[in-house]
Amino acid sequence: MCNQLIDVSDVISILSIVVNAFIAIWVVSEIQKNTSNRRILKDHFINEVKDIKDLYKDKFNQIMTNKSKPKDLLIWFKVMYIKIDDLLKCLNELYDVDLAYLEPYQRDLRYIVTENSDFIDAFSSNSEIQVSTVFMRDLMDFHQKNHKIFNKLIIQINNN
Amino acid sequence: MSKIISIRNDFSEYPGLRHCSISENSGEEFYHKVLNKSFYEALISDEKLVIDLDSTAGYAPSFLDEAFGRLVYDFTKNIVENKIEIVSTEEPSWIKDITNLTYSEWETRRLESSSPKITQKHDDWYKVNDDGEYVLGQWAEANTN
Repeated sequence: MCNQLIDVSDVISILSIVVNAFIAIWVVSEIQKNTSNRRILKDHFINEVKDIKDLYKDKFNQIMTNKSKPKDLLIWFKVMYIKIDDLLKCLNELYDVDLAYLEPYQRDLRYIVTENSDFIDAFSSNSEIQVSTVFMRDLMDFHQKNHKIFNKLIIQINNN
Repeated sequence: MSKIISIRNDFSEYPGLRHCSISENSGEEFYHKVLNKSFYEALISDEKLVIDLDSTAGYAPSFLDEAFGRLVYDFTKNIVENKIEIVSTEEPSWIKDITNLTYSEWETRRLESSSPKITQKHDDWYKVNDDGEYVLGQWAEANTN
C-alpha cells in the first residue's frame, strides 16, 4: 500500500511537471507571437512613413522639372494633409507621436510654393509652372533642411 | 444663435490666391463679396458667424490670410475673435494658422494704419470706426498697378 501511495504522488509530480512545461511553452509562444505582431505593426507604419516621404520627393521632382500645375498642387497639398493626419492619429495612439509632428513641414512648404511668383503667374491659366532658378533653389533648400524629419519619425516608431 | 457660411457653397469650390489682380476667386474677392457683409449682419443681429472651410479643392495660405486679415483690419481683432468661429474637420490646422498668426499680424497692421492693398474697385464695405460705430463706405482706393 505504501508503494502505491508513492507511485500516485510520483504520478502527480510527473503530471505537474508536464503541465508546467506545457504552460511555459505556451507563454513563450504567446510572447513571441506578440513580439512578432508588434514588429510587423512597426514595419507597416515605417513603410507608411517612407511612402509619404517618397510622395513628397516625387512631387519636388515634378515641380522642378516644370511638370506641375498650380491648382493641381493645391488639391495635392490638401490630399496629403488628410493622408498624413490619418497616419499621425494612429502613430499618436500607438507610439505617442505628436499629432502636429508634420504640420510645420506642410505649412512651410505650402507657403514657399504658393507665394512664389512662378506659381502665381501660372495660376489663372493652370498651366505648367515654369520654375526659375530662385524657385528651384528655395525648394532645394527646404528639402535639404527638412527631409530628415521623416527619418526621425521612423526612428521614433522603431525605438518605441 | 449662429449664421453659417460655407466657402464652397457661398463662394467657390476653387478658392484662388490673395488678390483679384492675380487670380479669380481671390481672398480679396471673398472678403468684399461675402465675408464683410455677412460679418456685419452677424454683428448687428448679435449672432456668431461660423465659417466652414471644408469641401473646397484646397487653399493657398494667402487666400485665408487676406480674407480673415481684412476682417481684423476693418473690425479689430477683439471683435473678430468674439464673433467668428472657423470650422474645418478636413484641415483643422488652418484654424490655428488663422487665429494664431493672421489675427495678430493684421491687428498690428491695423494699429500701424498699414492699409491693405486693394486691386479692384469694390462696392462699399463695412468697418468699425474709432467711436465703435459700424460704418459703410470706400475705405481705401483700389490700386490696380
